[in-house]
Amino acid sequence: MTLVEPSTLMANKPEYAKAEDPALVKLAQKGDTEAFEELVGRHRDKIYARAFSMLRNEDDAVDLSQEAWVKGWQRLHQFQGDASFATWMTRIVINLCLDQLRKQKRVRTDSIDQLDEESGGVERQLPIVNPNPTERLERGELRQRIDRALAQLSYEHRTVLILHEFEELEYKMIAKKMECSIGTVMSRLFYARRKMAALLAGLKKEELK
Amino acid sequence: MNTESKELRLMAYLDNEVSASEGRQIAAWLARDAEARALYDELKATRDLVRENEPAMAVPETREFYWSQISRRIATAEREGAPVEAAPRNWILRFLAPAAALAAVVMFAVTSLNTGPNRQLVDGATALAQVENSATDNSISFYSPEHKMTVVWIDSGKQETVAEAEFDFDDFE
Repeated sequence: MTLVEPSTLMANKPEYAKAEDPALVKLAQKGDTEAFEELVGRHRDKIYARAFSMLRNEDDAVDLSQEAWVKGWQRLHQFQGDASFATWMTRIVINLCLDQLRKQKRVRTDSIDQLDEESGGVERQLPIVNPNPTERLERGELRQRIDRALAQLSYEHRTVLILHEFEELEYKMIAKKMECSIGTVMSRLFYARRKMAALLAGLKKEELK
Repeated sequence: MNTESKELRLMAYLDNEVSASEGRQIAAWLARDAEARALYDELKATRDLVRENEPAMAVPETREFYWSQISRRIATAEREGAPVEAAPRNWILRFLAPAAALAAVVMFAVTSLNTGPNRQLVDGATALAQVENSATDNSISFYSPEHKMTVVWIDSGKQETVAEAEFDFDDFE
């Protein structure tokens, strides 16, 4: 992608599509909504995907991802460029999702399976497996299988897994975001990984109990 | 250390969340315990598989429609007075209007700064009685019984800043 200076962009708006994020951010920080629109178009799938992976509901993910973009616009002046713009927006949508999940937790009725997960110990009874026994799976199919497996975790276990594996946050930061202890983060991550391994290895539901 | 703790420490070792000394202990444990090695391999394989194959999602709306909803929400938030980066006129409304009102009251006090104590200003409906003249902090206080309001005028030109008060630059001569 060719770097285009903000001054050039002002005179020639079709260049927005060729501009790098830092240039677009600078323009957007001065109130250029078209520059911000280009940023939205560029990163909307990533932000939506993060929301959906956490919430597992399409409508909620669309709603919260849009809210994240609104907050991003309102807080653009706070963006310093220490991380990439996409990373910064991802953090915003994650925080919104965590708030949403906390609210939902207060009214959610946990299934018996989820209560089993929370009580702990189940993961230690699972046999050790190769999580990818059919390594010739096409990448798209593998991603779908991982997505289906993620959907079977409770929100606590899925959130820890997402924050650690996809956002690469340390235990301490995850604990802070989820308002729990580091020990709880470790227990949940351990369970999540063991359950994912079993699901990906194709263990039947009966074998997981 | 019980088995549960050991397994969690094994995972922490995988994630580089242990100290160097603990890392060496766990490496030694892995070297001699096949079951621990099998568990470590499974945790690592799962972690790597998930990391490298994050599910991809696309917004289930067209780019134009998605953006139209966002821009509408931004416009609504701005109308409702959400904390958008403030335009200069917001600063004016927030600070200068009340400051102008105070200035109008203070104007009555300014004309009597150097006219000695107990000076009473009368301006039709407004009477401000000087109640205090402090020589220590160069301030004069006025009270309006009609409005039950006290105005304190501080002559900032004669005040020292904290830096000036603490440092005597003559000491550096």
